[in-house]
Amino acid sequence: MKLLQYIIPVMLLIPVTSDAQCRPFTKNKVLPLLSGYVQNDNFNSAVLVPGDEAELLLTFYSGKEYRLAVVAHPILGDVDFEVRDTNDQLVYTNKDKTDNKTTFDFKMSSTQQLIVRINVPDQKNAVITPEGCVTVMTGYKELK
Amino acid sequence: MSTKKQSIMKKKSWIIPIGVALVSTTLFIACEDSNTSNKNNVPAVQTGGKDSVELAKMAQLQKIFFSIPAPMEMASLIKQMGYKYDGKLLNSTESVTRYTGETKQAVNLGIFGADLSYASMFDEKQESMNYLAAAQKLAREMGVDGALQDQIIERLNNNQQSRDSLLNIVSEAYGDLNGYLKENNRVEISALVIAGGWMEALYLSTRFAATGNETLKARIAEQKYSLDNLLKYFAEFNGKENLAEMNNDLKELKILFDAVQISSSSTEVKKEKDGMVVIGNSSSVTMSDESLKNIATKIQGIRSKYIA
Repeated sequence: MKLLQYIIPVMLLIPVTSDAQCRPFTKNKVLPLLSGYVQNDNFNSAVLVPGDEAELLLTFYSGKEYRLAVVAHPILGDVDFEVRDTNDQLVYTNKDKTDNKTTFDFKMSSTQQLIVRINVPDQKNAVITPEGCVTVMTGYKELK
Repeated sequence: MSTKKQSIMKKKSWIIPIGVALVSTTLFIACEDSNTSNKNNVPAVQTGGKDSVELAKMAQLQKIFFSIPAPMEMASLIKQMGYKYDGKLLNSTESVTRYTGETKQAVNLGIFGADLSYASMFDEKQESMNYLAAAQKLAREMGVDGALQDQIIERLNNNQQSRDSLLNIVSEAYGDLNGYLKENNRVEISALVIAGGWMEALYLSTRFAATGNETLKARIAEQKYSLDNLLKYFAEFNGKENLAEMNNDLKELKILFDAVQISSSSTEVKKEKDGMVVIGNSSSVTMSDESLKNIATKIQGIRSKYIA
């Protein structure tokens, strides 16, 4: 009983401290997807649970080809993401994709900011709420 | 999906685990203290409460997705414009021993990171090694040496023949540095490192743009976006003392960037024959030569203060 007094609080702390698991995930699962591109961003990762939504504002420069990668731990399933301009106009969504739902390749003909919105679908039948890392990264290539 | 336009994660349920963890932290520390209070005479509730609040704030900051283009992208443009490598513009690696105090160390870690990106973009291998070693020394003194491990120097040594490998290793190290700081409850330090790196990239580009390069001038004007993002990010820290100086510096810089005019129209999305998506609008960026000069002078002054 005395042991449980210590174990339970430590276990409950895990949701707060589990961000520390995302760097290896990013290195092993996300960086390889940017092969051929120069990674131009910080490691943007967070631990999310089903039902979560996240947003990231990114600047893309004209005359470059980019790869945007949005990758979630398999425990969360396929996450939905969409790209919108700052006037909320939809530019891309992965919802209608049947394969390669994690990366989006594009060229920029002008410099502009775009918003990436991520949605982790609900898992209504899950007995235990899963949580896992979601990473957003970009890489670029110079256009020749 | 949420229609709020901010970079902060909108999350429905993370408040609950944090709340539970808050309580449990207090319980845990309270239990610990109740066992040791006779020895140490420490007021259990106060200690637990303070740590819990800090922990909750930290957890909240760790949940923020924030991004500005890495210094490598600016270095890439400088090289693309045909400029030659000029090591004299960079912060001397010998100055690394001068930096004491967390703020100055963090900002200079970012500055060395940007200088490392610039040197590696120009394939200056020995200089790249020197800047990585300087950054590593600084990180060690800050107690965050796990961020730049010896394997990175080893990888650089082993990949000296390939410029692409050099760029990838440096880019990865820069990205990982901030990931490491964030995940090890040094989010404020990470913010200062990012600000330092951005400042140095801006400083370098203004030195080259002084020669009248319009492409570089436009890219400097576009830094208005990154500056706005940085200021929004800094605002999340609610006036933290160790970020105050940099926050003020960025605000002063913003006054000058407010003179930059950016107009945009609706976004067009086209597909090329090979299926590649092309995104763009007919945006225009206008910055006078006087504004460029003011920004160049200001950034030089801010940088001088931190590298002194």
